[in-house]
Amino acid sequence: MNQGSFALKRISMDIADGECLALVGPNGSGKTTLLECIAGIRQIESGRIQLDGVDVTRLAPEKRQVGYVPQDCLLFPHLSVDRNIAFAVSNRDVDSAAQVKEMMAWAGISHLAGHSTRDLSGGEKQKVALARALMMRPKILLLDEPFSAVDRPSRARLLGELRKSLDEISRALNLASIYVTHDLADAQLMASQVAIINDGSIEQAGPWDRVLQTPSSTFVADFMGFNIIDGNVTAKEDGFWVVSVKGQNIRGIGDNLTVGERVIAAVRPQAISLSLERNIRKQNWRHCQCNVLEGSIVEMREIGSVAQISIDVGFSLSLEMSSDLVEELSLTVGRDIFAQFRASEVSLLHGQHVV
Amino acid sequence: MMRLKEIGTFRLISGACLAFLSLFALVIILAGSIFSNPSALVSAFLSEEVQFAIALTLLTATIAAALALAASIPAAYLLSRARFPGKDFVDALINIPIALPPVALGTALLIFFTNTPLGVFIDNSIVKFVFEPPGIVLAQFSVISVLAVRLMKPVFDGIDPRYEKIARTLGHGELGSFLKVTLPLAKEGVFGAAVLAWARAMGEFGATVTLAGATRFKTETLPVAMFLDLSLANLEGAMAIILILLALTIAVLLIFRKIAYRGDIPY
Repeated sequence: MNQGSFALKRISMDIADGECLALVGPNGSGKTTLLECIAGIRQIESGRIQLDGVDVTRLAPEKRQVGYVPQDCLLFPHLSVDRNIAFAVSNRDVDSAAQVKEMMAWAGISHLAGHSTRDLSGGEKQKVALARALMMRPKILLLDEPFSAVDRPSRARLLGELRKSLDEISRALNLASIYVTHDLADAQLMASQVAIINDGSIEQAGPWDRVLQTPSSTFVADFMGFNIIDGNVTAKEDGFWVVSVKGQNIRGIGDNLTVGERVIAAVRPQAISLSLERNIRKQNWRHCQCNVLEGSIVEMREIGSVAQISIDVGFSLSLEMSSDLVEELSLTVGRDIFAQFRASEVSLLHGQHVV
Repeated sequence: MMRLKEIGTFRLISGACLAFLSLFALVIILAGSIFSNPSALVSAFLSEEVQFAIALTLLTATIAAALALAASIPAAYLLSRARFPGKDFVDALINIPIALPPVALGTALLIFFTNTPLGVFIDNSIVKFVFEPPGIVLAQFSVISVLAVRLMKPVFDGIDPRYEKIARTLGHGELGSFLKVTLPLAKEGVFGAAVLAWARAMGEFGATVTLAGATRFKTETLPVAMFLDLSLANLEGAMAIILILLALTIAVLLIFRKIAYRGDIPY
């Protein structure tokens, strides 16, 4: 698919029945374009799209049975809420009134029957758009950044409701869904699988734990908020590569590396723990290969029950830990600490980090 | 003075422009009141010839407007949505009838139907246009259809094409999406274009007189009747017809407006 200088390329994804996949990526990475290609709104130049084993690549959108909820809902302004929902079945010989009633009750919007779509809140619009898309019994549901225009507290509540509804309907209809967002927290809440898209290409796809454990590229690591550190491979010991970073040695895992190669070490902030002593603080880590780096706290910010901490261990690292633990360890800015993280949590990637 | 300041300069200028434009209608009414009198108006209205002209004008203008609407809605939609080679050329080409004086358009049609094999065949074997009532409809149609396209294209431009795309994902084909989503969303603009096209057809003279001629009780629309009276220096009769045409147009526009408001079209 080409659109001016932008093109979707190297896209390969599989979604199983009843599964929800989060498609995440920065703005302009091609998330919406990819959804539009799946929905048939845009044509692809090469490649194939299969639904339930049927090739739908050249099929008109009305024949694909793809439910699409765009970011701005696009409810038909000339139709009331119930007529919007009935739209999908208005050209079929079915008892649409009963179906619409049932769908509205399921979506919790029965009270909006007959209302103009102009009077709805952001959350209500999304529910109507979702109900409208589900009315045509889709094989796959595409959700493009739902609730992105809704304020954060309301969004958390609405996402919770949506997750529950989607679980319910996915089970009942064996419905696969793709949830597009640029918010990682939303994506983790909504989906068990994730695909990261950048500049029209899928960088990595798979279960969350695998992507978080072993990001496949610097982009993925960066996008996921990993600490990214440049270093040189100096040796391989006990199955782990040893990387020299500004005089410190870090152990990590990586494929096809060679001694002397420049690499990037990627570590999740949530994988780093702090201790006041060199000894490994977490008991279940004591039998693992662990990195222990001495340094001091540079900055600390508490957001709710989580503290975001920046430390200097010869280079800068960011980490997150619970506010209770910060209090328990009496951590303050300037305090000397030991950063500890398991070698298996350090992904070593080929190349050099370009900022 | 204080009040004028509160209104603001821009509002004052806008008001002055609106008043100036309204003057044209007032001038027609003023001229009518000078060169006409109630008895001339009544006798004109009661004359068989004027009644024929009223009926013919209403009939031909309505047919021409309906045909123009049927042709210009899909044409305007295509120009708004589709991308095809030579689109700019086609867009420019269909503007030509707007730039030409209606007399030139009528002359071109007359030459086509009298001097080209296809035109002669159509005129002799399918529909007789030259100096016949169908010629009036064709002349009016040729003038107003392009106007309707020009008025409707921006209406379709202003409707987000993604509505149609969503309609298609909801199981409706291209035509169904257009009829059930785009057209209802465009109804205000389409209605407005239809009214203006109809009003323009009511007053069409140049193309009509050239193609259909000015035969009494045959191709005599109200503008042609007015022209015939003027050619006989019957100013009172001509002004009476102008006032009848004016009253007729205003009455129909008001009816349209009433219908439009009932249908929630704020036209």
